[in-house]
Amino acid sequence: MADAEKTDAAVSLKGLRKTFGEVRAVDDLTLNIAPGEVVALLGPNAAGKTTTMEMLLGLTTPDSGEIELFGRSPRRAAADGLVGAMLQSGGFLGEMTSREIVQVMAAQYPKAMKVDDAIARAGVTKYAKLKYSGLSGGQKQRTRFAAALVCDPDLLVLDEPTVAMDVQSRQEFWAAMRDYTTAGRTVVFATHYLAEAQDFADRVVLMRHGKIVADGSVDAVVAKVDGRTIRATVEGASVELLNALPGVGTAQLRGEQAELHCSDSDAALRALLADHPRARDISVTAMSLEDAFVALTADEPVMEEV
Amino acid sequence: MGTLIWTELKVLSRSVEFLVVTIAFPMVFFLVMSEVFGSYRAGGLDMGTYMMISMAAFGAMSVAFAVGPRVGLERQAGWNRQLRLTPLPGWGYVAVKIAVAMILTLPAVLLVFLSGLLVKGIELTAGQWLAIVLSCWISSLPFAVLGLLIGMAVKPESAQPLGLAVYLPMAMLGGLWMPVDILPGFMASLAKALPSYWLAEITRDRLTGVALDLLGVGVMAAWFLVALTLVIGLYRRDAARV
Repeated sequence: MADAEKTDAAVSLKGLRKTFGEVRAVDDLTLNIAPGEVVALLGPNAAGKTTTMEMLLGLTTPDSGEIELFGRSPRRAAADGLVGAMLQSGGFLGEMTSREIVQVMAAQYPKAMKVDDAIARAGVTKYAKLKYSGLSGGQKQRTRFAAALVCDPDLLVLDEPTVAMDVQSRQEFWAAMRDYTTAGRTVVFATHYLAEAQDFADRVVLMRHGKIVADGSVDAVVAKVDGRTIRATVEGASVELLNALPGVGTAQLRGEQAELHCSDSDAALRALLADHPRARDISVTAMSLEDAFVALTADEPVMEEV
Repeated sequence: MGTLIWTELKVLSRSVEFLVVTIAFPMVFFLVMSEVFGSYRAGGLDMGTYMMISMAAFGAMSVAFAVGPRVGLERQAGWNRQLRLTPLPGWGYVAVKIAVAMILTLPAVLLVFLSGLLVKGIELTAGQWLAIVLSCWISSLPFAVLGLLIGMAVKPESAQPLGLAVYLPMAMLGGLWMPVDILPGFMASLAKALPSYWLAEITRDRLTGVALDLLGVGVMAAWFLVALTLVIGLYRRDAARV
């Protein structure tokens, strides 16, 4: 049945494009997210993460492309109470208290959770009666989380949810999120904290210049970049020769310090030692998500697809 | 929508300045002005009653022009974007804004009438009081939308001055501060195109037994509809832009 196929994905983005003036914010982006997936959108500033989120929420109209949430339009999904969101641009009135904010949000939905429950889950209880304008950055973020949560959504969209939080708040925030996602809910979040993506996401989508450059589990994304880095002190080497070694993706040389990003570090190391038997101080390290992030989102890509 | 209206009223009621300046000011203005023009008669009414209705109309306008432009602050904060993520439809948001302005208009109007009754000793039948309250209140609908229009049209910093630039001339030319009869002829005819003039005029007609002036109803309906159309257009522009 066509309908069943349609509703399969929690989020379905097809060929999305959005241009602001001369800038292509999102460029032919296609992405499917299954129900229950927790997806981190990563990328440097201006990679198109926020624009993508705003389009999937129906707040920004794409120049072209299709968006479906649970098989319906973003506006329909919102009207059906399926979507909760914490936006960077969405704000609350400073004169309202946290509780009033959550209350107003709750009142818009037919099947919202209890206001006090949402407030407790987000850890807002202690300052629920304070005016929003008087709260700290982290407290504001938690209030926004409570407001996003109160409709008991199937899909949560979070744009840099922990941006103003201290370490402890961040841990509490993700603990609350874990509670929430164990019930099989779908989460899409953007973050600059790669550790959050590593710890929390089932799947990482890396964006650059409005396009997806890597998509998969953290391990898969890390593996997409040449697997390991060899560092060594090599006398009389040249970048060209190092680059030509088997298994080497890219090589950098600073003085005698060579840094080789390798897809096959074993082959590269053997070849390196054959060419430069006097190479010393050798270390071989695994790539972290951060290395992969830098490699995949650098403006001049360190590694081009061959 | 009820919760949203209620919360907005709660938030506004926490602002003492707002309550005093916006809601009580027309009453004060009435008490002063009625002393100034005390002995005249205008439009078949004694000056006290005449001014009372003018000032109630002025009060209704003041509230609408104080409440509506606040939507600019909400647009700046991103509150309306947040609400757009909820099932609340666009028309619901606009309706909430108009409802809040209308609800707050009522106490301003009532205060003026109450001070007319208690301080100025103006005697009307219960039916007359009810008629002028309803007439004044319902006729303030175009202003609730106009105030909102200002908040939707310009940045919050400009909303206040623009509001004043619309509302003060409208009050004056509409004959709310002094009877239109003592204005020069061309101004008097201009007044008939203004909703402020008709707001007071139609309400006064409730006391002099004049039938409902269809020209007045038409003028006010036209202002209401044009303003509402613009508000809806601007809401859509907001929704489409970012």
